[in-house]
Amino acid sequence: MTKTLLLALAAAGLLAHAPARAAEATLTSAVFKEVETRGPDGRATMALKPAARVTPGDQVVYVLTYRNGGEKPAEGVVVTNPLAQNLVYAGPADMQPPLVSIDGRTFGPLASLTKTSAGVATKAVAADVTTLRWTLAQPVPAGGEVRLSFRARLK
Amino acid sequence: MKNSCRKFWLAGASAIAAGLWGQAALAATGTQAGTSVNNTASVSYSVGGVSQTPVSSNNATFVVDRKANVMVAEVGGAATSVSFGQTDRVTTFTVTNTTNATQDFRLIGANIGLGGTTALGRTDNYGVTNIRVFVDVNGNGTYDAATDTATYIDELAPDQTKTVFIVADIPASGPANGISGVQLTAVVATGGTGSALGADLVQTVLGDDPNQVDTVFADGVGYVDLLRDGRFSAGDEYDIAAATAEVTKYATLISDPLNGSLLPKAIPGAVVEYCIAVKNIGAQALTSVGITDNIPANTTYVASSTYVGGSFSLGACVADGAQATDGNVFNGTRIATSIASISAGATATTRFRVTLN
Repeated sequence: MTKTLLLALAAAGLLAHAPARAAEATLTSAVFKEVETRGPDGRATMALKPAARVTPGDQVVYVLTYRNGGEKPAEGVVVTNPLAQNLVYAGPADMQPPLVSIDGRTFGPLASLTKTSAGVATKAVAADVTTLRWTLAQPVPAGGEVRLSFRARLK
Repeated sequence: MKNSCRKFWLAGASAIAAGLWGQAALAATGTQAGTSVNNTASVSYSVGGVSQTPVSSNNATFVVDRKANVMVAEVGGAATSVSFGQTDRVTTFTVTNTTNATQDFRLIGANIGLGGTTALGRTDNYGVTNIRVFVDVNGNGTYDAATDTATYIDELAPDQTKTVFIVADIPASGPANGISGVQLTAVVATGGTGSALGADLVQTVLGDDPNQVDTVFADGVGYVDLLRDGRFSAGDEYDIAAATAEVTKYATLISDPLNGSLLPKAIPGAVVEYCIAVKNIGAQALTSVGITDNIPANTTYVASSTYVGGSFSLGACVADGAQATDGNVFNGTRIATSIASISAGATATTRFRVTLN
């Protein structure tokens, strides 16, 4: 999780988001627009703003927050995110890249996937990705929270 | 709709997947403005080795905003050739809606002004008058005065193009080699109401709302407009046609007193036919083309030998045309004829014969 992302999340009031059912797990989805701003020193920094103005070609960042509201650790946590048809997957937005799928069944790194069109197999590209999946290696402790994010471009 | 698609994906129905791959390619302008883009994730987990019911997230959604853009291009890359006093002369443009929504387009045609640099890089030195702008309603690429009467583009879908004409009159007089630059500007206007020109689009400045369609200008710099000003422009030219006729004179020996018409030689008494061919190399028909030629010294005009309006074929004058009355064309020293009209690219001839003294 980058510092910018955390700051933006704080700004958006997401960190204060309390799960409705304390004893259960919750998953929230939020969308932001990545905006480049230049500081006084001329250095460009990317900041996350609410996705209020998005036109074709713009990139958005989705942030998924899984919170274990139960009293025991949650194991084998798998978060699945089908991608809207109008979006093209544009890579992870933090250090935890998801596995991707072009058919919703087979998941793997993008480079490992092939698609078959008219009997010819070719490497899958980002535009072919339909579903993202994160499989957490570590259990999420009681009261713990895991944040996952990815970038997507509006077609 | 979108959600149900997703469920199919998750169910792994390969037949449905194949169907989605075969979907028509998205328009170059991208997702239509107003489309809601939704995102819902789900999580599965176990507690104490027992699988729990998967949990779905909320729907993170935003509405696609309007990226207003338009392209105007001149057609042909060359000036329209005109003559003084002509009316309803046409320059042609295309207007393409590169907005991700259906829009109207307001059209503005104007002179660029004396001294201005035309889109073709020349200097404007006269102005066309009575400038009007019409849309090629029937899409045939040609201005039809009776049909193409619309003055704005109504409800143009994304990535669609319309041909637009500037129609202007040419003044009665002006500089030789006259050049008049014109400009066409298309302004992105509000669509949605057919058969009516919507108001010019205004860029949304305040009030970013994820659930409303905002407008962002994305157009480039055209001939006379600015970056991201919701309009685009291109220019063209009306040029006064310069020299438009090419005159060539041919001399052919017809006969001599000794050899007759078989391999005649230019000896006294020989008959020579002169043919003056006028070729129209301009874009307009030439009318009332006068041809005057003196009878050469040491020759004598052959009575009733003048033919007017003959044709020209394979590099030679054809023995046709209308025989002229000597009293009308010959005054004792020269031949003067007139041809009513020579269409663009055509050639007409005047022929007469002399004998060598």
